[in-house]
Amino acid sequence: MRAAWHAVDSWIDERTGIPSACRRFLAEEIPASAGWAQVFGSVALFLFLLQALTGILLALNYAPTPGDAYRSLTYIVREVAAGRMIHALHHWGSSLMIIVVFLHMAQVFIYSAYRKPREATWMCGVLLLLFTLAFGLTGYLLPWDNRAYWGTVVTTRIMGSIPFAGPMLLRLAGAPDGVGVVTFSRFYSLHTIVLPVAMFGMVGLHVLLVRKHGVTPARVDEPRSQTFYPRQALRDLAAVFVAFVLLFLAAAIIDAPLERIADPTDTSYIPRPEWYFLFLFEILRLLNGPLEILGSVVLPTVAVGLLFALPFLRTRKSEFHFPKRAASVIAASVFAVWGALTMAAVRTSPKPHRPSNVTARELRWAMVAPEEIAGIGYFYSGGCATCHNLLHGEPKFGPTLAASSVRHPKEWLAQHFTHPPGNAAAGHRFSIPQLNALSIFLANVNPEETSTLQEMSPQFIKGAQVYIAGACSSCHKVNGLGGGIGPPLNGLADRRSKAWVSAHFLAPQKLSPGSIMPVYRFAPGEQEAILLYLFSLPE
Amino acid sequence: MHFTPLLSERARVNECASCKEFVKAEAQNDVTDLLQRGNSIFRRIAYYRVVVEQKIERRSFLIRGAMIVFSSLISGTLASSVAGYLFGKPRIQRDDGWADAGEVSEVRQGTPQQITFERSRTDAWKVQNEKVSAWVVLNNEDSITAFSPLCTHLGCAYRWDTAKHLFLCPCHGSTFDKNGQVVTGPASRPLDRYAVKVEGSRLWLGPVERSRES
Repeated sequence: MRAAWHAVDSWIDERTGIPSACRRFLAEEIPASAGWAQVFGSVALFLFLLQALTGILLALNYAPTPGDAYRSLTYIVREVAAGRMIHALHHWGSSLMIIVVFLHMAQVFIYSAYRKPREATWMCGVLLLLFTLAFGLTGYLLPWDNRAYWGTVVTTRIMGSIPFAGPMLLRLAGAPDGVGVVTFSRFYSLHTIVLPVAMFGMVGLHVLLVRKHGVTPARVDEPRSQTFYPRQALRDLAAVFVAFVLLFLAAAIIDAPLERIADPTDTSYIPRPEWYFLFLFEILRLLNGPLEILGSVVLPTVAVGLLFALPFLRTRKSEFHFPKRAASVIAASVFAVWGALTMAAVRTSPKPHRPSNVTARELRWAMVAPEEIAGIGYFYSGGCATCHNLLHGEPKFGPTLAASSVRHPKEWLAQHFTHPPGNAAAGHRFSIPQLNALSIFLANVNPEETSTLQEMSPQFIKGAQVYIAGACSSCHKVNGLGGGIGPPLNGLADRRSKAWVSAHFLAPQKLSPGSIMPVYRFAPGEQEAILLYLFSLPE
Repeated sequence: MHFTPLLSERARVNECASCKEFVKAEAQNDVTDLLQRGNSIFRRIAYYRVVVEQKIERRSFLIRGAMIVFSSLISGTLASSVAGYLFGKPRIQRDDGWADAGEVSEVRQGTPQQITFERSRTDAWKVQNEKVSAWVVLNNEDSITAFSPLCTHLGCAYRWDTAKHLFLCPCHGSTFDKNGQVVTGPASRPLDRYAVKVEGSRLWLGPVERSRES
């Protein structure tokens, strides 16, 4: 057995030299002081390769055009076997990679490992950091949901605010008139072609330089007295394993965020960048007005410039480097400032103002469009549940709606409701507003929202149904959508009392002269329901 | 040739002259001779060699074992996800394939008729409406048979030959009778049929069921 293996090994080695190259690689001599602090480079490399793998897998099912991008991603997440896992691994992998890359940089900084002759290795590493951030920035747009779209709108605005170069950069990003299809194609090409090629090349150079100069010893005169294999190889692999377990658990437990399909008309959406860019977002909030340029351009440029210049700092007599303790303090304070800015950005994220007497649950319900709330009511009352499950339950004749990414046009639905296949007797004729509400509900139904919809009280759903049946949205806005003739209804609770609104339904012109609102006489129970609904709407 | 762990400990042994002599003798299988010469330094080296070798052996076994465990856990988990992703069936079975194909009363006794209707087809995340056709025959006992419009030989569209009272495929001359049975080859299977059901006055056609060899 052993002899046979030996024969195969030497046959391959004579012809390719790969086995002996591996052995030479593993037998690299490293300083005795090398240990757990030196594992981050390997972990970062592993995470990058994992991103490449999951990225390629996602590309196998992903359609890189706006619109289709979102639909194909929901298809991957909800229908493709293990698709949710692969997507979550890619999403959380990017965050973990950012963390590990920064830890790696901090270690190199603290150990002064950027000093002569390793300046090129360090600068290569700074470029790798920038590439990693660029990956995060371009990948953010690719799901083409509201979060992606509006986040990128902010990014491109910042890009455009750069003096002189701004308009040119915007044209390069394909976003001179805002984020659009060209922007999407540019970001996609950067993310899947340009950056991977650049990254692989730069990683190769980085590793080559690390090999050329060897691992930095703790003291200048320290001998190299151990080999990479077995001790350090085991440490690296153990660290990789820990990172993988963390990532796998995160991917298994936390869903990668996927909001609604990008809606460029949704002006109520509050965009947020990915967490690792939040600090920049917060700086921009603090430095608004004429100082904005300081946060969007000057500070980042200075920071990157300082990183590049670090190995070349000199005192009058000799080269300069931070002693280990000072470097640790600096690294820790940079992380602390970063963390504080990020925390501040999270805390200042505007939360919808909640009217008094409204529970947090009702507030969450009120953020859902009234058509969808009414839609789930019609879903139950129309007998749809005989053939369909919404989220889970005993398998039924028809498809499980929230789990399916299939979307039918409204005409198809109208036909389907009156002639459900397999059970003609169950046919149900809906009025036009009801049909509208149901098709909006079905067009947007997804697991996250369905669980919110399912916990709503019957009274709340009834309120939304009264709102729909009364065609209130032809004149009033709720959550930014609806007609502009009447006042928006969000925040009604802060402006009027329930008694006033009740009286107003019966005699609108008496209470607000000049109003063209028709008189509404509700059936018993309906008035309480619509009041409950309207008074939950946050400002 | 074999990769030896803990080079440093080996190197220490090799630096000492006595050790070198010992190692050389060991390579020539003369160790017993050396030990019999009663030289205590050689005895000590021999003892040391045994202990160190054992230590090295044990440690490298543990390290190698740990590395194998770590890497197989990582690659095993990844491989199972990747295999599921690449070869697994999409989770949700959708689209029962039933479509409304028109009024039942339009299907008349006598010659088979070709009807066209719209059916939605699910292609991953897309639903497309497509026009499809069927040859429908009203049988004597008032039941309806609907044939897929493609010849079972190579998939050409066939037509009804009114003179011969047969379905005739223009490509290779296969013919089928009104019940879809093969009259002349090269087709070897009867015509494929749609699943059929009637609801009220509407005719519904379902998925095409592949016929068996006759």
